[in-house]
Amino acid sequence: MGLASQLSLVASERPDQAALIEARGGATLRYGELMQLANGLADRLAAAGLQPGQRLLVEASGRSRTVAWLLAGWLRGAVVVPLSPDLSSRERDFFTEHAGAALAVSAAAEQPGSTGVQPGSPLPRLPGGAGAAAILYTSGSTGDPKGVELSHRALLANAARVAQRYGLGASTRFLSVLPLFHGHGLVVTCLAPLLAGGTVVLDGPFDAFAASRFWSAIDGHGVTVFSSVPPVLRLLVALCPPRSPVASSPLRFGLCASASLPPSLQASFEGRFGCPVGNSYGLTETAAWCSYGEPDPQLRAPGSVGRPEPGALRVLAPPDQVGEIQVRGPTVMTGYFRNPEATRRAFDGEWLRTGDLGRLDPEGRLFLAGRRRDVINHGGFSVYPEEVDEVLVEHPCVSQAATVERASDTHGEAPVAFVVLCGPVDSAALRAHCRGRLAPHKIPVEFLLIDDLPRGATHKVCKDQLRAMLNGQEA
Amino acid sequence: MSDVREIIRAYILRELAPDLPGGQLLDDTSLFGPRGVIDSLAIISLVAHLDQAFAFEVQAHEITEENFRNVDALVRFVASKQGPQS
Repeated sequence: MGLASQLSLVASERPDQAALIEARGGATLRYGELMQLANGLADRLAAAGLQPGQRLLVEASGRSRTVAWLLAGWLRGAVVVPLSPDLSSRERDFFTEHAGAALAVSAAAEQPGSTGVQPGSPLPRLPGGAGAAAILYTSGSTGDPKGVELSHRALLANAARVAQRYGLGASTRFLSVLPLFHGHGLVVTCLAPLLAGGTVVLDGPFDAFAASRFWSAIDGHGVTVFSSVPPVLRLLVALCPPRSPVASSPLRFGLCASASLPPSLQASFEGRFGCPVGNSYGLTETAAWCSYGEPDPQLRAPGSVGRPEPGALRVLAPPDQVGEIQVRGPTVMTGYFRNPEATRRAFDGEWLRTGDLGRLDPEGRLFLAGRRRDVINHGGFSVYPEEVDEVLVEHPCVSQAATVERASDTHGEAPVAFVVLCGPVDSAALRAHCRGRLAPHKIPVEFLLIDDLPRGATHKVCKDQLRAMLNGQEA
Repeated sequence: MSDVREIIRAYILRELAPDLPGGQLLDDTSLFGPRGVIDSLAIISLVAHLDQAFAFEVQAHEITEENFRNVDALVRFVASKQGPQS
C-alpha cells in the first residue's frame, strides 16, 4: 500500500477532522478537504501530462498546499522531489535536470486561487509499497549529487514507528516548524501525525521570528507535541521568558533531532519551559529517524539519542565500545538517485553505512560519538564540503579550497572555508559569489586565506590539519 | 534618532555581518530571511545588543518581522520602546 492510498483511507474515516492548520492565519484544511484538494491537483497534474513514475518537483514552502501537492503527486503515482524555495537558481536547475523532472510546482502555485480545485476523481493506479515515493536531495549542483530515493514502504514504515513510539493518534496536534523538503520535517512532523489521523499545525519553516510565534502557536492551537532542531530550542531559550507548566496545557513533550543536542541545552529548555524533550537520531537515508529518543527525563540516560528498533541498528564494535553505526530494514533508502557509485559506497550488504560513530550501552540505548564521513551538519542541514569547494574554485581568484566544520554554539557545526588565492578578492566577494550558487545554509561562515592546502601522500587534503588550525585559531 | 540608526548599523556591520561593505547595508536592506544579510540565529545577539544599548527589554512577542525587517524598522521599534522624547 502506498502513501496516497493509506492517507485516503485515514481521511475517509474522519473527513471532518482538521488535518492541517496554518498557525499563521489559522486556515484549516479538514481531511476531506485535503483529499478533495489533492485529487483536484492530481487531475491537473494528469492534464499536464504527468505520468506515473515520473518525477514531480515541488517547491516546499511549508504551507498546507505543499502537503496537498505532495499528496497529489503520490495520487498520480509520481515520485515527488520536494525542494527548498531558497535554493539558488543554479541548484534548482541542477536538481531539475538530475531528477529528470517532468513537471515542477513553484512556490507561487501554492497560493490559493492560482490552481483551481477540480472535483476529485479516482486515478487509475496507485504506487506500490516498494516503489519510489520521494527523492530528497541532501547535496547537489556539482558532480556527486545525493538524491536520497525513498520508497513508499520506507516513508510509511518510519512514520508508523514514530506514531507508535510517541503514541500519536486522532487527538494529536503536532506542531511542524521544520521544512517539508527535509526528512525530519516531512516524515516526523507531517506524515507521522497525518497517518495516525492527527492534526498538523504548520508554522514553518523556522526563521528568526520563530520565538515570537512558538508558544502562541502551541497554546493557540492546543498543540500536544512538537519536533524541532537544536537551533530552534536555543533561540527559544535565549529569547522567551520562562514558562510555568500550565496544568490545562495539552502539550505533552517535545522532540529534537537532525543535529547534536547538547545536554546543557536540553536541560535549559526543560528547566525554563517545563517541557521534556526527547533527543533522537537519524539521517535522510533512513527516512528520518533510526533511533527514537525518550522524552521522559526519568527514563532516559543523559546524552543518549534513544533506542533503535530491535535488529535495525548495529555498531561495528564490541558491546559498549565506539564504532560505526549501520542501519538496515524497511526505512532505509533505496539508494542515491542516478548515482550508483555513491549507492555502492553507502551500503555494506543490507546495512547502510551511516558514517556516524556511536556506541550501544547494555540497555540498547544509542550514544553518538562523532562522525566518520565528511559531512558538516549546519543546524540540521547537511553541507557536503566538496560541493562548497567546487563552487569556490569557480571564482577566478581562487585556485584551491577546502571546507571543514567548526563547532558552533548556535548551529552545532558551521562550515569554514580555507582558500588559496590566485588573485585579489576579499571575503565579501567570495560570499557574494557563493550566494548566487549555494543555498544559504551551505555558504561558509568564514573564509580563511592559506598559502597552500596541506596534503598527504595521495595528494588528498589533510582536513584534520585544517581543523587543528581552526582549533589553534580559537585557542 | 540618527544616533540610534548609527548604533544599530555599526553593531550589525561590526558583529553580525562583518563581510558586508558598509555601503551595502541600506536602511531598507533585508536583515533576515533568504535574502537577508544576517543569520537567523544572530537575532539573539541583536536583541541582547538592543537591550543593552538602549536600556530596555525586548519582549519575545516583539521579535517580529515588522520590527526587525531592516534598519528602518529597527529604528522605529527602538523609538516606540523609548516613548515620546522630551
